[in-house]
Amino acid sequence: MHLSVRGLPFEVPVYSLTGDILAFQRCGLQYRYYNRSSLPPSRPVQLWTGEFIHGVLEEAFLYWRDHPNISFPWPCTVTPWPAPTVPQKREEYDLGVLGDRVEERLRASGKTPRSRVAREAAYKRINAAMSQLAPQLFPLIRNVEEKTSSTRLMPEISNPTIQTRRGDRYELTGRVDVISSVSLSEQQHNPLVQRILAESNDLSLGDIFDIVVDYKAARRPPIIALPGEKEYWKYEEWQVQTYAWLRGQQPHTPPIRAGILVYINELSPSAAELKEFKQELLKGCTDVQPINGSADYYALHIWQEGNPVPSFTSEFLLKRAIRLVAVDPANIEHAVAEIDKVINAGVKLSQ
Amino acid sequence: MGEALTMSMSYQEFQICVQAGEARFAQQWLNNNQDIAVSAPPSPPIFIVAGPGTGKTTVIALRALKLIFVDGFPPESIMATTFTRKAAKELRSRILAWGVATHQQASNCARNAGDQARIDWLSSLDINAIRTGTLDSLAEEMIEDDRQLGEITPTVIENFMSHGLLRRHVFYKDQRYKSDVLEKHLAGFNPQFPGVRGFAEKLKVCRSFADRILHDAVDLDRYAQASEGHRMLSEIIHDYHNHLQNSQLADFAMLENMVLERLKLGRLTTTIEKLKALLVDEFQDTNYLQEQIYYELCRRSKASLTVVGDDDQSIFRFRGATVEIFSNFARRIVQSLGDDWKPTRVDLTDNYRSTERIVSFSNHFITAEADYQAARSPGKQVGIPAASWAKDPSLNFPVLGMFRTSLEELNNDLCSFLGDIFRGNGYSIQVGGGKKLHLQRGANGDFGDAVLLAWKVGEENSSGKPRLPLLIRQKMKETYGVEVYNPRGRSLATIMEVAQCLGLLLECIDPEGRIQNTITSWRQDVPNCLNGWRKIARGFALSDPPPGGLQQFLSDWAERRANNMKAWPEEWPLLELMFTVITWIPFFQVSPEGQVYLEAISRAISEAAQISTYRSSILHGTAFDNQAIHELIREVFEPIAVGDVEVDEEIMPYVPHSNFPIMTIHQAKGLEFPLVIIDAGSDYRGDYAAQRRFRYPDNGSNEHVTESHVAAFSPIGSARIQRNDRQRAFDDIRRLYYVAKSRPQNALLLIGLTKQLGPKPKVLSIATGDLYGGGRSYNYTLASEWTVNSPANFVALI
Repeated sequence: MHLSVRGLPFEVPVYSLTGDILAFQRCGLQYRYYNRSSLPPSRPVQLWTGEFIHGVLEEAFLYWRDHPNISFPWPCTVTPWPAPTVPQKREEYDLGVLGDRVEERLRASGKTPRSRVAREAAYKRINAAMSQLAPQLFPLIRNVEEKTSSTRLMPEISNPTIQTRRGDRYELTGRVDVISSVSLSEQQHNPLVQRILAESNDLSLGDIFDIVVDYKAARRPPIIALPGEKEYWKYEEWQVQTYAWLRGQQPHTPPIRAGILVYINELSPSAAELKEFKQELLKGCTDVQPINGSADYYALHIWQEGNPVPSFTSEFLLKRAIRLVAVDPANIEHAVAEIDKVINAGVKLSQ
Repeated sequence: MGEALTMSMSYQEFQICVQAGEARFAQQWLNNNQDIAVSAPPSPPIFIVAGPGTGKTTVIALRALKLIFVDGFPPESIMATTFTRKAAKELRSRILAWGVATHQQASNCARNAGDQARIDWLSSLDINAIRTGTLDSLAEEMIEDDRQLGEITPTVIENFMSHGLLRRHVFYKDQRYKSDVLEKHLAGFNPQFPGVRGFAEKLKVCRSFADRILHDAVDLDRYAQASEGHRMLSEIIHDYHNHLQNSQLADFAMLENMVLERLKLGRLTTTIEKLKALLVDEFQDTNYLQEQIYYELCRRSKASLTVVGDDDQSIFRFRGATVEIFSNFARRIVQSLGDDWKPTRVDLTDNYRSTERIVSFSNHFITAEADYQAARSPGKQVGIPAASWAKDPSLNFPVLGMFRTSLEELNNDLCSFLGDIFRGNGYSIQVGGGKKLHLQRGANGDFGDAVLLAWKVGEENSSGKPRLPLLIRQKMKETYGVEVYNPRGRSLATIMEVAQCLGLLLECIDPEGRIQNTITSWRQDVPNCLNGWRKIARGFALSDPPPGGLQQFLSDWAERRANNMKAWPEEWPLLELMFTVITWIPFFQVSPEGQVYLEAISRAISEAAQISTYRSSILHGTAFDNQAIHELIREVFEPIAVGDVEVDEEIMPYVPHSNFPIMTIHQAKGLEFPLVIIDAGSDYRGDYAAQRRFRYPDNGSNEHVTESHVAAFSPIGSARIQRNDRQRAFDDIRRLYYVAKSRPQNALLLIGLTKQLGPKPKVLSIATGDLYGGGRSYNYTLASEWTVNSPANFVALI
């Protein structure tokens, strides 16, 4: 008698657009060990900062939605670290209070800041985002952290092993903030709305559509990747298009016509980031630059490494921080095909 | 829903679409009872009693889809729960794969028919919106969805962390751990050898009792009044729960309790307003708290209810599972929710997994014990072999027995048996009537097609002597170059590569143990263990493992200075140091077991970061440098040394097919293997009292005595103690080995020592057929005397 051969369990694997796909694009090998094997991240700071910033902005938005009359900026009294003595008499919307809550949640899943310095930098950026970006962005947001998920056919595996998985599909998930065209119409004097309309010629306020918003705890990437660097400019555009595809699979939702990527670090750049910016300017591979002769132009060009980071105008910082991505069916199709390729590569690596 | 119903499909249309979308259903549709279970209307509740291999996951997945496509329920209104994360993943996979395929077929049909109304309705369905998971994961979602402004959603903590908090914030208070009153009280309901004397044991019992209090809805105030010991234990539990609550933390029992409380208060409206159908798999492993949650969800939402399970496979009593909830489901739900909820019962008996011989053997095992029949659901039916090949005489191998006089002999013969099958030309036996039977691997088959199932899979016994799993590991490696996958087999602290990793970490953070040596109040033999790791690490570093530079690395850490760094960082997370150190230990990167161990170590570090002041960081140049290291040693290294950190093998999605798996019967629940080897007594050299609870108990084990101890204070207590402690202990062992004996597809081998055989065996065990009232249900016969006509209870000895 021949024994049967044991197959692998039936599985429709789940991939998160942010947690898995981008992590894989960053480093395939690291992804295999730290994502698919459920290990805590090896570089907690990368994940911690991103999730911390998302988390605090979500908390802040929810609070603001119920208390729209509280004016910006909000207080930011950070709980000291590493030996915490909780500051007294903070407002319930103090960014330190909201941050404590998010930090606690992240700690529960093994994510802590790399160091006191990294934590301070994250709070500084949250503070900058809340004072510069939130007054324009919050009134436009309709939903925060909206869960989206859909199923796609598993790409053909070119070199299957003897034991092949039994599921023929995979599930893709993502979380996005959403702006509706209705809120754009209601806020036509909002500078951000004016910028969205100016940069997207084909958006008409008479149409019904949505825009997805995604925060990046990073600086604006160069439009052409430097040698040896990953093409984040392109990856992040694919990510927006794929969010649009995912959202398009949910019933009763208006089409996504654009995506906004918010590069939070640009609102409060570090010295190292300014140095990178200057190098990219020299190589002509970054898109948003200060106008020649402007105060921002001089602040940037006079600055030397080792000196304190100069002040820039809020207008310039916001311009660097916000990237608008046009969404259309052809771009979506191209992007999800690219994501399929990533899944295929990931599947092969994990077998 | 009214509008949806008019657009929805008939059951016949649904069947056509499922069959067209999924090849396996095109070949064969459901059997009659499966079809009844799937097609039943949303109410009254359906109670599906499903024996092993009868396709219950298929039925529950298709029923969920039928509720969408035929009854018009929106996908987001359906919630399906099961017992383990692994089972939940499989259930979701099936629902999604079949649901999307069915949806596509239905859309094609509607387009071909030009039925615009149905096209529109179908396009409004999002199959991914079905909620699936364990009750714990769904409870987390429900609480998160219910979050009010300014309300902090509690952070859910795992076992290791809850132990740490109980120890740190409750146990040390007033030196409770030293109390004679407490020790005596705990011993009263934990009679099992070796008793409750040490700190770790007391902590474990109290932690488990904290769950019991919530799972069984024990009236803690009334309990406290019974004696001084009762009072002290109830204060500990009370303080533990209070501490978590005040810190915005919750363990899983608290989380579920929070769900029940909020349901009773009319909260969780997001969930209730949406919920139209609740499907519960593995209902036999439900505890009282979970049962109340399910009933309360139904009461509030009037959802359609489907429960599936098998009381004969209830094996998680130690986690609070209460099989009587399943056995008495029909009566209990009516008592709770009224006559409208009287369920329709459907029994699934057609077994598609195993050969006729194996189905008959497991049927015999579960029905042979007269005393056990009173514990089963009334009217239980036996399994029927139903796979197309199940009755093929050429595929019906006898159930085999391999019993030897010594462990070494057993190991040698077992490994030869496996080697013949998976590396040789097959294993042949001469049976009665001059026939020769031959067992060999399938095309491209490998050791992963077999499994060794045992109650315990530890590789050494309590005296440090090797057990069968260790001997198999060594022999397999030596003879066939085959790896064994048994991550639960060894204590983390004793694994060479783990010792290298932990020793290197210790040498980095605390060179030569300067801070370690200032600690005086150690638990157990921790300093020896830590020093052992250090010694192993120093030896490892001297061997200059690739990629090289380890000694320099240790020396840089010792001096907190490195050539390539301007200044040593003020903070360095231990987790990051660990990921650096493992670059010298490839085992953690290439071995499946290595990855499981690595996950356990990194989890210990992450969880310690949640409770420790310095968040598992190594500080430098601050006033807290020494305290931070002191804390790391106490919160990370000491728990691993004393065995508090357990591995979680569920993290490994795939184990290489060439590895030979060894697993506990509990782990094997829900799985099937072509060849199953059951260890029915390789440890039983004599009739030792300490082993009886694993094979033929004299009385109840700790969990049975604990159930009786709290019975008077719990609403579920009286239902449990209808059978006495010893009977329940017997029932549990019978269920456990029934699960084991129903796992094989093609062949089953029982193994043990010869003291278990003979007309008057020296060692009795339920697994080998010994009965509660005396006597033995199995007939062990020489293989040469076995014939195809031998009855179901014949075991052919090889």
